[in-house]
Amino acid sequence: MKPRLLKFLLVEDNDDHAEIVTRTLRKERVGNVIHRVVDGAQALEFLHRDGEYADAFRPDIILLDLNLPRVGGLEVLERVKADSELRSIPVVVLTTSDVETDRARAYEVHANSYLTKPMNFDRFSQMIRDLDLYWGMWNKPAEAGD
Amino acid sequence: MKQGHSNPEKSNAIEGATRELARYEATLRSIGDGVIVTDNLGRIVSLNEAAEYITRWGSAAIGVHVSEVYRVLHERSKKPVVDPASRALESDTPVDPTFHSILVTKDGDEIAVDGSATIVRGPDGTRYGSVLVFRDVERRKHAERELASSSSLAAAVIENGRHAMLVLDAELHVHAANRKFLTTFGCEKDRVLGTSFFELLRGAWDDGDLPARLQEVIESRTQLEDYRYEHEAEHGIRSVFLLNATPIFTDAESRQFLVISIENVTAADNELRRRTQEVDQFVYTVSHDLKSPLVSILGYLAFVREELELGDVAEVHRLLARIERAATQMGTLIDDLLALSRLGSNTGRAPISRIDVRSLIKELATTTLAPQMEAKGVEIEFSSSLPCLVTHRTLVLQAFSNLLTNAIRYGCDEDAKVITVGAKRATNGVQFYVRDHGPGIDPRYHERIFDLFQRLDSRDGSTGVGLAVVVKVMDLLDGRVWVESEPGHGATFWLQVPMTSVVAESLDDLDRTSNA
Repeated sequence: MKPRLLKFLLVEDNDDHAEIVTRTLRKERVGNVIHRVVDGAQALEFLHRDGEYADAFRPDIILLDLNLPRVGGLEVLERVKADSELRSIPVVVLTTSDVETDRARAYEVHANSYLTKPMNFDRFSQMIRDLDLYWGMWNKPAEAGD
Repeated sequence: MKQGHSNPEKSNAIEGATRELARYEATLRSIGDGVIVTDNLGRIVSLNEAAEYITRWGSAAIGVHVSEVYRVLHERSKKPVVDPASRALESDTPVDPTFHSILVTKDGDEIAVDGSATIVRGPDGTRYGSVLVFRDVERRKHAERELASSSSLAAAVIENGRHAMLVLDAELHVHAANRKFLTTFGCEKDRVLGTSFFELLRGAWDDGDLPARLQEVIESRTQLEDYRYEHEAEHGIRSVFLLNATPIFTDAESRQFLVISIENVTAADNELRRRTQEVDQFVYTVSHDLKSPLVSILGYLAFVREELELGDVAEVHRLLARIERAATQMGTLIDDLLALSRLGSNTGRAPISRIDVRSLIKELATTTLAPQMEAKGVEIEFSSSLPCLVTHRTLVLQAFSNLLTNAIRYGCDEDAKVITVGAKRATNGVQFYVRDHGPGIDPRYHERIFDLFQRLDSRDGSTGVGLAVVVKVMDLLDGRVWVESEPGHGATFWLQVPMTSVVAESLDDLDRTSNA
C-alpha cells in the first residue's frame, strides 16, 4: 500500500515558522500541496471557500498554530469541529506553547493531535513522517461533505 | 496566803472569764471586718484591730461615742446619716447591713463601707450595749469600678471597631453586634441579638468547616486566626472574609463568650487574583513570544547544516540572514519587555513636573518620530488647545510616543497622511485623543489590541508591546486608554487623565477651542 501525497492547509502567522514547516514537509516528501494562510480568519475563509478562496482544495490535514492574529487558533479549531462539513478533517495543533492548559483546551475542542514546535528538528522530521504514516496510510479520512 | 487559794470557786470563775476574754479578743483581732462594741449609751468599750485601722482612730476610739468614730455619709447625697449602732440602740432592734455608706476616717479620708449593728443582751435579757460590724468595701468598689470601666472600654472598642465584630455566647448566639457589622451586612440590631450565628444572613456562615472550627475555639479555648471564608451570594457575587475569633471568660459568672471579627477582604482578594492572572498571562505570552524566534533560529540552523553539505553558499547566506533577523527580533523583544517592566518601578521616586503636552508632541515629531513621519510624509495637526499636566513627564511622553508611532505605522497611507491630536473636558478629567484617518480597526479587536504581544498583522516587525505599555502608563497615571474606530473610517485612541493631574488655568483655553 503506497501512501498517497497529502494536501495540507498550514495556518501560521510567522513567516520563518511557515518556511521551516513547509521545507520539512517537502523534504520528507509528505506533502506536495501546501497552502499557507496567516491568520484564523483566512483559514476559515479558505475552508469555507469564501471570496478569493472559491477554488480552494479540501485539505487532508490542517496544521494549526494557536497564537494567531485576529481569529485565534483555538477558535478556528472549535469552528472546524462544530462544522459537519469540516469536522472529519484531522487538525494537528502545531504551536510553541507547551503549557498544559493549552494542550487540554485543544484536546477539549477535539484537536486530533498536539505538537509542540520543537527545538530539535530531527525530531520534527520524525514527527512529520509519523504523521504521514498515521494519517496518510492507516487512518484514511472519511469522505465527508463533498 | 493567796486570795485564790482562799476562794477556789471564785478563782476558777475569773480564770474562765479571762480565758473567754482572751479568746474573744483573739477572735475579734482575727476578723477581717471591723468590730466595735459599745455600751448602752453608745460609747465604745472595745474595738478590734481592723476597726482601729479602717477608722484610723486606733485605740483612741475607746470611750468615744460611736457616732464620732463611725461617722457616715449617704453614698450619693453625701449627707450625714445615723450610724447603725446608734440606730440599733435607739430602736432597740438590730439594723440590717446598710450598703454603700461613706465612712469619714479620722484623717478625713472617705471610704465606702457596709455596716450592720446588733444589740447585746445578757442571759437575763439585760441590755449591755451594741456590736457594730462593718467592712471596708472600698477595694471591692474599686474593682467594680475598674470592671465597669474596662467592660465599657471593651464595649466601646468593639462598637467602634474598624471591622465587623460580634460577641457570641457559648451556644454561638449573638450577644452583641457592633455598628460596622450592622452597616456592613445591613442588619437591624434587634433582629441580630439572640440569633444563632449560623442563622444570620440566611445561613451565610453555615458552610464548610467554620461551625466546627468555632466549636473548637469554645471547647479548647484556642484562637481562630485569619480564617479565610469564601461566600457566594445568590447572584453569584463572591465575597471573601477573614475571621478572627477569641474566647473570653468572665470569672464572676464563669460565662464564656466568643469575640469574632469579620474583615471583608473581597476587594484585596480580587485584586490579587487579577494580578496573578496578569502575571500568568504575562509569563505565558513572554515564553511563547520569546520561544518563537528561537524556533526559527534552530530550524534554520538545521537547514544551514544541510545546505553546507550540498554546497549551496547563496542559500546558506540567505538562511544566515534569517537567523540574524530572528536573533535581532528576540533582542528587540527583550528590550521592550524590560522597558515595560521598568515602567512604574521608578515612578514613585520620579519627580513630577509641569508638562506642556503640545510642546511635548512637537518635540516628539521633530526627534524620535521624525524618521518615520518623513518616510511616509505624515503630519500632525492640533484640533484644539491641549491642557497642561502636572505629573511624570516620561510616562506622558511614552504614552503619546507609542500612540503616534502606531498611528504613523497603521493609520497612515497614501490617502491619509494627517494625524489629529486634540483634547476635551470630561466629567472628572481631560480626554486627549490621537486620531488617524487610515483603514480603522474592526470593533472585534478593540480590546484585544491592548493585550501584550497582540498584533493584527504579525508580519510588520512590531513586537506587540506598544499598546500594552500605554495601558500600563495610564494605569500609573490613574487614567485609562481606549479606542474608537469603524473599519474604513480611521481610529481614535483616547487617553483619559484625572483632573488632579491637570493644570486648572489651562482648561479655559481648552473650553474655548474644543468643539468635541
